[in-house]
Amino acid sequence: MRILVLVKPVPDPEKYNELQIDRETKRLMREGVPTVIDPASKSALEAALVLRDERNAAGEESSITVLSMAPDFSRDKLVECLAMGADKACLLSDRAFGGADTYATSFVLAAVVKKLSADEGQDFDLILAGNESADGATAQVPVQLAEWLGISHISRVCGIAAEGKRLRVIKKSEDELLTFEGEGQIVLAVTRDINRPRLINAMGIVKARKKPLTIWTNEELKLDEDAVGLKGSPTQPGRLITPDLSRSGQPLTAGADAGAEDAAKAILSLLKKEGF
Amino acid sequence: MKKIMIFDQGNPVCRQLLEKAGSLFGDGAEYIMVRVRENHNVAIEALEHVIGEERPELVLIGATALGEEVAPALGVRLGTGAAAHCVDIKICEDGKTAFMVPAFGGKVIGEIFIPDAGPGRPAIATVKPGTFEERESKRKCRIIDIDHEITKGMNFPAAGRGGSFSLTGRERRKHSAGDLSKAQLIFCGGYGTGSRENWQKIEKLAEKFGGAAGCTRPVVDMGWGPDEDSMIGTSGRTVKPKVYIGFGISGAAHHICGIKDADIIISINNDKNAEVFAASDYTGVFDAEAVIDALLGEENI
Repeated sequence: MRILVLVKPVPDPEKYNELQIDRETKRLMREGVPTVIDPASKSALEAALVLRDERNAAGEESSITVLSMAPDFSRDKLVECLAMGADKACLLSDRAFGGADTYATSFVLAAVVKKLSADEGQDFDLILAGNESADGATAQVPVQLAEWLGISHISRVCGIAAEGKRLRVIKKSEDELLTFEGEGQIVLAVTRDINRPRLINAMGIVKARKKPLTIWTNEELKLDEDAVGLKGSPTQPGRLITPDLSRSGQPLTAGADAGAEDAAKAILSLLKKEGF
Repeated sequence: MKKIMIFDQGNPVCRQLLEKAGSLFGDGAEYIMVRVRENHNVAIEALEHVIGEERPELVLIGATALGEEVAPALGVRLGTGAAAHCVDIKICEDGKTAFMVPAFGGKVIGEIFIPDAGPGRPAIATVKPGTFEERESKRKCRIIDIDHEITKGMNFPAAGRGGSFSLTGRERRKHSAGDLSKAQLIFCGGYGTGSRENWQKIEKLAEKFGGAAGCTRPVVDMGWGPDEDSMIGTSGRTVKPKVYIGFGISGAAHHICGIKDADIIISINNDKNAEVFAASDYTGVFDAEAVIDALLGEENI
């Protein structure tokens, strides 16, 4: 089984309170916010690792390629994926791809998938991605990639099982678990509750150094520059605002020697006042 | 916008969308409700077909598990833009339609324009259920019932793209967290509650005071009990209670944005610098467990 995993480097989701908009340029300032692998991408990679190892154990030669479209400094994040256990990595980095919405992003990713498949003379059986990233959280790229490739897609996936060529996929909707079964190429977008991604160990880091990491620009892909990046995006961004969610923050209790019981009393009286 | 199409998936969000669209575009526009209750493969094919015939300029879709899979697919098939999870839709002074979309857990809201949209190549927007108010809409709309067409034998090519995987089973989920979205009183536990036992105490509090129990991402990740259905935040449930009481919550942006519509926010955290305090009406720098225990044993205080 040949598996491709889309991996998105994002600003650390724990630090979004530190993001500010520059008053002059009106652009988002993310200085000091470190880049991490999006948590949902990590779950996609973990799901891929489990499937690959199962298929390998069953005698079916299997491999994982991770793919990112991201600035050049995200290279380290792909090395992390290799250290987790992926076999190969491909980073797609070109200024021409900057400012892309999900439509233009998935268009470029589709071109890369086609090129990777053509170069190796074999299609990917399965493409895995996180259902939604912590930053943009549109949940659109996996579906749109599948549509560009003309293959199946299922989102909000919380379970995957492979039996030979056949896949059984569980999608979690608002009030149901839906099971889909079939064969053939498919993009599955997984939610974080599908698994708990493994940690990287020292052996993984050593092995990662010897694994292939390819960096491509548009020189290799030769896509029309009007069809990629901001120019190729049917949605265009306008102004950014940061909603003010601050509140008065009155202390529940007065006095420095107030204890937990006083806080509980204050909560009880507030609840009573509100009719509970 | 003269012609607006809304995807009716069989839940209240389509009425919310009709109401919102009506308030923006008024009586001069035509509103069409397309009813499809099938899985995404069928829904995408059916809507693509209907959009081709009706040529709307705007398509509004509820951001449900089904809608989120249908909207971006239509974007690629029709060569148009899709704005995801709009928190508002506005008409600017120059007449352009701006879709307001959140990013970074709701810390930032950005305007999105779809300048090349037009009849047959509509702007597409998804909106999470509950974003717009639900009122008894008097807005007139035409209904196209695809389910009815399908049962009459009109065959949409559902076996086209995506058709090699078929729906083989559906099972009602045990835990449907419908109560959280409608709850008037919410007790919420964060990482600072510290243990599985303390999460269970949060549930007991909810039971005792007739509220609902919610949690943050770390509580799910730690495996203390609740799953993503109980998680409050922009990637989980958005809540609008009268009173929200949070214990041991640090105040990550995606959680704060999920509780911003609460009337009263009370926060207990032993870290006086917790970011949640700046977004709270009442604050208490106390050990979460001690306050929870005091509330559970209130008869004694």
